[in-house]
Amino acid sequence: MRRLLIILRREYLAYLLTPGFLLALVAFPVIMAASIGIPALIARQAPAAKVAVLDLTGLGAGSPGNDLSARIREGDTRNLPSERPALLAPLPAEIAGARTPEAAGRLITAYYAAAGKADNLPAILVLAGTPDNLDARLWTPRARLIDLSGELEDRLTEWLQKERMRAAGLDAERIDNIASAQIEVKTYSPEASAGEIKMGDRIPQMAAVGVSYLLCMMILMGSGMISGSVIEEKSSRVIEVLVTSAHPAELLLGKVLGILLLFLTVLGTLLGAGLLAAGHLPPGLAEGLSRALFARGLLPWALVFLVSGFLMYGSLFAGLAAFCETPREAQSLAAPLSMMMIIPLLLVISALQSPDSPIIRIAALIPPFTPFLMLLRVVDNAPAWEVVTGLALMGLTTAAAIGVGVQAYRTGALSQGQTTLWSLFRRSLSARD
Amino acid sequence: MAEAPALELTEVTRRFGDRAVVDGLGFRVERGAVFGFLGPNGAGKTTTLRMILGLVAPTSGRLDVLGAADGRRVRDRIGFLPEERGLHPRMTPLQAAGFLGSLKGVPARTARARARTLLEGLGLGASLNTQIRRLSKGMAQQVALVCTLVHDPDLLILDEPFSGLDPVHQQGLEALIRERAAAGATVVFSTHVMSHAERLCDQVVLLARGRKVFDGTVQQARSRVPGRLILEGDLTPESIAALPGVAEVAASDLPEGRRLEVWLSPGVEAHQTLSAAFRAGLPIRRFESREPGLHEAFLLLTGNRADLPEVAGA
Repeated sequence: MRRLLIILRREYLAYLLTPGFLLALVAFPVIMAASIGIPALIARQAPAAKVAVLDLTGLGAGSPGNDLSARIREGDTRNLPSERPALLAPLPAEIAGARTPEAAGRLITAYYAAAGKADNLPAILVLAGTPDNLDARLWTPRARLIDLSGELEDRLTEWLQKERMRAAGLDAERIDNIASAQIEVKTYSPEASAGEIKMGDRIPQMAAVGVSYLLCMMILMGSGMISGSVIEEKSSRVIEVLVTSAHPAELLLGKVLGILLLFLTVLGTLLGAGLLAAGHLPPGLAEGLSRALFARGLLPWALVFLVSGFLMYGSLFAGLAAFCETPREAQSLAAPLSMMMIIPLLLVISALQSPDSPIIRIAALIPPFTPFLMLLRVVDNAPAWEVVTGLALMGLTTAAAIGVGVQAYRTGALSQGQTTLWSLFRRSLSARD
Repeated sequence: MAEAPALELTEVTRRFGDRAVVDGLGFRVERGAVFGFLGPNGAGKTTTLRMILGLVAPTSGRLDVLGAADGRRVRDRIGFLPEERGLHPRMTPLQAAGFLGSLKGVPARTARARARTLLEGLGLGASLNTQIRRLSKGMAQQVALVCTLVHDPDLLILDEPFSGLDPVHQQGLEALIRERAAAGATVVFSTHVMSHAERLCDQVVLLARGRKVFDGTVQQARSRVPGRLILEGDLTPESIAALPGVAEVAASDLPEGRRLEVWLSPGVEAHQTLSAAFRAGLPIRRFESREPGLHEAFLLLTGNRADLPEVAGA
């Protein structure tokens, strides 16, 4: 235990006291903020979509084209994700003479070709037919889907519904009354803090998903650090001195725990900064947030799965690295394990919708997936036996990974000169213990 | 009752597949002794040291290391310098000593203080806080040695400690080994450079192809090797073979007379045979003689007699 703590301390300080780590500590929240802020900034900077309408229905003042143009002018159509209202563009003169949708299509194609790659050309909506059989075609300069089509569809549907009500003999007042009819279904649950399910009640699930992604990030970053540390000790030949000074299990675990502690330091620092920032939130919001995060032991459980998950994967990566002589070998050996982590991340998305489905319940008990899925099961009130079994199986897997790593460490320490992975595997089987 | 030895191996064998790398090896090293573990490359020295340290399990046989079954149970009392020595390249010598010393149970501060004294003694006082990757190979080796010593081990195991060191540093290491032994530590070192063993060791074990071929003092090893004489003159092999103490004679022709290489029986001094030759009035124009050294003993005992060097000196 004493030696394990000494090795842990060395690994921890070896990274903590480097300029790179301090820079990363500052850069992490900046990158997180940028990843949220930059897409919003890009969306805000994007020009509003322009739409021109060519109405060939011949329905006069009450035509769908006129109605839609009015709605666009009023700002009633929004183009996701910027949520900026579309602008009504004048119909290009070259197209105005078209009498059929097909002819309009040919003229629009020629118009776009002549305009070349000019910025923000308008989309052109061609309307034809009758209210019983309305033909609506939206032309855009580029062959890609735009979110605006859904909005235009909704507005035209509203026009069509009103037209049919009018044809059925309803007066304008009744039509408006029917069109404005809307009902909101509220969701309630005994598990919700105030009976009705609010956003705050979904925070534990969202946080559990966040923890899964955080664990994935920690494992991917940590695996490189652990492998690098093991390989440096092998290449500098200090490993032979170390294995005669401490048990290989202490060396391996000390390394994994040291890097885990480093990540926990980062998380603790960010959490501390978050708590300070929470002091500036409106009283109700801060209280609701903290109640949601501490509900059902979310934070302690999150810590349990972050630590146990990192320990399990860290031990596996350390064990694999102990078989390798170069960083390249370690990367190629670790790649399948890293890729495998995509599976639990996909399962997490499904688990958010149905955390108690049989597949999720079984997957949460399979050790490589447990740290990613079991927290979602915990916040969904999973039975205690499932949580205990999941943790026990993870513990066994971690012990097995350490066992393999110990053999690999000892064999790696004794290998001299150029050797192959396969020969190290074989030799590790005949090493002592 | 005799004091328990620092190290005792009984019928220790280690096989890798069908090949016995160490075969039925047994020896005993008393506490406070300087013990030389000698043998050509591939003789099984490093494997034996690894079995002592507990890194490799013996296939059969028994080990007693400071009273334990192998070095793992007494690792805090052992200092080990591997042949391919290394340290964390980004650590400074003092940091490395503090870290490795603390693994051996010495407070890091104490380990650093001891390392400072030792490194200053070795002339590395200016490099105490320089990263090891920036030191020369020789300096880094000195630092590795110091890190082996900071916990004041009872048993010091050095695998080829002199390799890669220049003559000045080799001399410094010899002094350090003597100093540790004088302080009561047992020093076991492997080497294939006989001059160091000759100067330092109380006891040597010679290993060849995994088997022990000699176990005793340097003097006893030398006495196993017959002395040699080179005689030149108008001599016949028969006249020389008749002299007392002569075991074997080989003759070659010179432009004038002959050159005879004379092997003496074990324990016979060269001057006894020479005196007898002069008393017999043999026409000797030139002679050369030298007492056998550990190097000759090594070559003879490891089965490499053909490689024995020409006798030098008169």
